[in-house]
Amino acid sequence: MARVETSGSDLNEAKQNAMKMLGASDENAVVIEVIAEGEDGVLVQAELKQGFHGDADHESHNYELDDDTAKQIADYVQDLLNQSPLQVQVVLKGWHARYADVEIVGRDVPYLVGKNGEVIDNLQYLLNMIISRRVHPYARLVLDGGGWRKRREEKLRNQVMVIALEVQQRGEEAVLPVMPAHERRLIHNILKENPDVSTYSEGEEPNRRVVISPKKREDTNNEE
Amino acid sequence: MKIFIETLVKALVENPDSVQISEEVDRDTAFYKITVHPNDRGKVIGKGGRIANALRAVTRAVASKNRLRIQIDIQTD
Repeated sequence: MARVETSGSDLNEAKQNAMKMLGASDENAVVIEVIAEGEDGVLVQAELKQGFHGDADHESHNYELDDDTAKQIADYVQDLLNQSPLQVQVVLKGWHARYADVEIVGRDVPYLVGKNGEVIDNLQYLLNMIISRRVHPYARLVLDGGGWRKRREEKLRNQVMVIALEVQQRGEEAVLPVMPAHERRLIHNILKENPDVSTYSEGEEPNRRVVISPKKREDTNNEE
Repeated sequence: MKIFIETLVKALVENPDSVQISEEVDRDTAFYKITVHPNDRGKVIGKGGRIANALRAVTRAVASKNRLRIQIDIQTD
C-alpha cells in the first residue's frame, strides 16, 4: 500500500490529512510516523496497516479525468506558454486516473527543463496548483519536457535496483541524494515489494533524502 | 515577459482583477513588483515561500532565453 507524506499544524491535523490521502476512514487503519516537528507544524509519513484497505469511494482516488478535461488542461498549458517568449508546443500524450500526461516539445524545451529538471518540476507544481483551482480540485498533470522525466525515471529505477542489491549484500543503509517529493515517492514505490530492503525519508524539505535499509530476515519470519 | 508573469499570477489568485505588476528594466535585469489582494498573498507565496520560489525559478528560466535576469518582489504590505 502507498506510503504518503503530509503535514498539518499539529499531529492530529497531519493524521487527518494522511487519512484523507490514504482514503482511510478509521484512524486505527493507519500507521503514522512523525518525520519532523517544528513551530509551524508537523510532518508525517503514513501508510495503511496490513489488512486495512482505503475507502474505494475516496474521492480524489476515485476521480478520473475525461477526454474534455484532459484536453482543457493541455490547452491551458499551451495558452500559458504562448505568453512566453519560448517556442514550444504542448502535446497531450494521454491520461491515467486523475493525471493528464502533458509533454512540452520544440526548440526551446531545454529552458523549461533546467538543471536536473528543476524548472520543469517547479512549472509542474505551479500548474497543478492552478489546475486544482481552475479545472477540478482533484485533476492533476504530469509534465514532461522533451522526454526528460521519462529518462530520469528510467535512470533512477536502474540506480535504485543496484543500490538496493548492495544494501542487502552489505547489510548497511544507503543514504540517497536529495530529491524532490515525487522522485522519493517513486523510489518508495519501486522498493515496496522488495523483500530484502525497506525505505524511509529523512531530513527537512528541501533537503529530504531517501534511505534504503536492509530488512532483517528474522523479523519477517517472526511475523508468520 | 511581464504578460507571462501576469498570466501565471492571475491564475493563482482568487482576485485576478486586483493583480498589479510593475516592470522596470535596468540593463540586463528586469525588476517586477507584484501586488495582489491581501487575501491572496498566501496564494502567491505559499507555505515557506514554496509558490514564490517556483514562480521565480520558472520566470528566471523563461527570461534567460532573452538573456534577461529577473528580480521578483511580492509586496506584502
